[in-house]
Amino acid sequence: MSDALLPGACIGCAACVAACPVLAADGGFAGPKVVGPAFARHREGGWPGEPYPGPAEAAALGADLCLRCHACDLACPAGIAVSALTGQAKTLAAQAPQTAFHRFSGRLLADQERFGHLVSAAGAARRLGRCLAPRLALGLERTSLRVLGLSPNRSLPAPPRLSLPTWLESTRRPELERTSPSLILFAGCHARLHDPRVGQAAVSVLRAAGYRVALPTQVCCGSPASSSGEEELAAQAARANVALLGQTSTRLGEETPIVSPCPSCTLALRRTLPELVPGQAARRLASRVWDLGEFLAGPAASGLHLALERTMKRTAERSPDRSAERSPDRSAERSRMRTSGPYAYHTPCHLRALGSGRLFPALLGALGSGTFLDPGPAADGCCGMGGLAGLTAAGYGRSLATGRPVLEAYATLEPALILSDCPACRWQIADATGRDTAHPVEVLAAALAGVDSPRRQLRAAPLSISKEGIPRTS
Amino acid sequence: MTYDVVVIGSGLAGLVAAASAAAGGAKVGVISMSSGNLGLWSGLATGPAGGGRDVAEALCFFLETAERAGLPYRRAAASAGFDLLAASGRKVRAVLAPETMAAGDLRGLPTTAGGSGLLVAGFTELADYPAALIAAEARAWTGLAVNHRSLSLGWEVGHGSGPRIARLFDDRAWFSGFLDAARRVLIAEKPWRAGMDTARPAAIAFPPVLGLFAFRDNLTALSEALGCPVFELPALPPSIPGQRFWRFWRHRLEADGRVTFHAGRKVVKTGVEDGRCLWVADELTRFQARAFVLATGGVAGGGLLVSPSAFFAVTAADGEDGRQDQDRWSVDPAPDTPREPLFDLDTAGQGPDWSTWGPRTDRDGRPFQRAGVEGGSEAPRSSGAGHRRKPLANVFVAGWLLGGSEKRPPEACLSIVSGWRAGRLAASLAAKPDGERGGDPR
Repeated sequence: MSDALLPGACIGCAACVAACPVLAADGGFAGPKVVGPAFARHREGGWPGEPYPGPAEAAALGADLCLRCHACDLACPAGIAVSALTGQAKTLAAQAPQTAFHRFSGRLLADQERFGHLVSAAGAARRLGRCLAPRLALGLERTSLRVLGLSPNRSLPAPPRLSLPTWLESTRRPELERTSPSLILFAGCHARLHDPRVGQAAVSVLRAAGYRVALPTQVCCGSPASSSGEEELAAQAARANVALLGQTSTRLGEETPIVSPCPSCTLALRRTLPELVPGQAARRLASRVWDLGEFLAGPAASGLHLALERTMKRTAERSPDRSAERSPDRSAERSRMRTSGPYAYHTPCHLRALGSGRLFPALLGALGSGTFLDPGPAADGCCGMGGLAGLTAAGYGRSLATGRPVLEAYATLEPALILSDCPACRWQIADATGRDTAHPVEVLAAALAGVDSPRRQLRAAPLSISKEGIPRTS
Repeated sequence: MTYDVVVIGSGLAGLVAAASAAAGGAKVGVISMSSGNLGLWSGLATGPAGGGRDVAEALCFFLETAERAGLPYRRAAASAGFDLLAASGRKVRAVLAPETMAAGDLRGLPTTAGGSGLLVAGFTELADYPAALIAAEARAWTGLAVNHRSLSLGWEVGHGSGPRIARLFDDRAWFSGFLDAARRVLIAEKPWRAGMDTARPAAIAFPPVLGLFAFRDNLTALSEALGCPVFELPALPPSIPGQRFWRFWRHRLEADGRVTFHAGRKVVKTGVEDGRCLWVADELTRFQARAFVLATGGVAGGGLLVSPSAFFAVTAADGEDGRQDQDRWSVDPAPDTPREPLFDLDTAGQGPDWSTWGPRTDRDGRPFQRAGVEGGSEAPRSSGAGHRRKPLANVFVAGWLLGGSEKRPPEACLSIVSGWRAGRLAASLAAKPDGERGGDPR
């Protein structure tokens, strides 16, 4: 066992308690110190005359309420992986007796493959219904969300018209790609099943930076499953991904980088996957997983700059009257590339946990794409969504309470777009503040394409929440 | 990843070093396992005010950065520092204090007055904060007139949790209700029984949980509503002042755009050539820089490894227990010196028994604070193979790793002063053209 998982190293200082966003909002959660190291110690040793604690005790501490934001890990001066220990308690709590309905709706979200296909399948019916009888369709939608145990206040993603793999194949230009280095895109469930535009933007930026993008068959990274305490489901997903991505790597080369636009997927593949799947293959795979921001700021940086310079040249050629007043100053030239902005950037918890820094604002700033508003220190925390925990009927109110400081900070700003790498953060911020959100790579792709800012009109959510929390149709 | 300056550790010393290096024009990467001891920190920079130009400049820089971060600090007007009341009921001396605590300087409070002394306010739901006990201790130790009163925040708060109470104080609607309750209970604006003491207290002390973000507005509103100065008392962890510091400083440094935080990463490898460090790495990423600041903390922070036998005087010969401990801490059985694991720097603590470490004066603090890196912050010496007693030219040490407590003169506020100095030196070294740095590291 690694040092990070030794609950005995906990000195009980409660630094994790001060950092925990769930504990601050929810009286039902006993806090990371108790649910993590203290409960683990209790399970190791037991107390004289007391039975070893089991699922019921874990559930009584509110272990299922932990959102796995990893804020406790980053606070612990003893270097304990507190969230891994709370995760163990969470897995135990998931085994506690619960009603068949709760089990069903919990598993529905844990299994993203199933959930995604359900949403896609329902998509056609929703689109048709909204054309024929909007009010009736809306009522039906809400009822069915309730039946599934989901909050009727959440906007569901609009079903994609074109799937990401189809788009990828249709836009491939083999003559340009023959000499380019390859990479594997791990798109993540959101880009793959719900919103392919993030995947499209990632692919076009990576292609512009000179890479050949492969999108092999892949399944969910397992993050929603382990967040719901469904360890077995997460292990299944991890095994499937090791096999599927392993096959592609054999074809493309064992060192081919795997890049994901979703920090939660990156975290799951890099950190959780080698714990769930024993063996060299999984460890090797985990070691070449990159977050998209890391990759663009690292190996792809020079290619990206070249691509941007090409775009600028093209723009200058297209508008000769502007090029006449071009100054030799590069920064002035770049400032023309600024998209309309201003933006606000939200750092997802899992990007913090990866320890890769706030790379996209720096990247966009260096490329001269847009200005950023400062939402203040309160915005720099957990939005409360916790992956998909905030989608359930019970989790909706809790998620808004947990993320309140963050959401209030964004509600007071007037940015053109709120950017965040994480689809769950974007979902929560859009629902709670009514603002438009996007993945920062969409802005980057727009800058490379010479468009002013990413097209928002496509994002037609059937149901969204205004600032006051009152549902309205869009 | 390549930076001008890499700071290892993001406790107080690491954050100050990062800010100071960034102010010197460097692009800074902060690599840290956690927020260090900030989670335990009361928020006070303790010790007597030291002298020297460096100290004055460092404190000035700290105050300016804190102001910009939105978490203002105050420096005591008196040369001896603030005399603040702690939650133990005793006096603690501080050179710098957060604005929220600075108003509690006991020197500024009336010593004795008929009924209008200091009021210690407590919350029934907050654990480890017994207002009655604090007031009684304070009366005994300070000779001031100190009263106490507690008010309940309502059943929904639950019990014990400072962070939950702080979250409530960030809620405007809830806080306006709290103001009414505070007026009724703390200053008995409308006495609800005959003979109530309606004298206004000279000042009111609150637990340090008055909001994680809205604390400045809250204190102003409370002071206006209650008609007297109000302030927070430094108290036990979970530390909201420490959390504020971490969140506000990290936000400011990131928003300024010169500092990148790589949190949750433990540096395990270093690349040293010819007395210069070229890179440090965790298990995944290599971070290159022209200069490095080592702010990994002392014995308590994990920057120095010490065999438990040093504390418990159990040697390997004593039996199985001693051997097991040594396996776990992977310290050579002899000699039993504190070890700096990253660069294998020479340490001042020697011998198998902590009682022999370092100089022994009253101001050196606890034994574990005496061990430290030898050679000072500017030229730490590495004792690693091939570098025997050779100074590392581009590594600067800050904080408790230097040895000594915050009180050690002349380095009052050890973390702040050494952090500022290390950051400044690292930035100026990184800015020098390659020739002047004695060979190109890359």
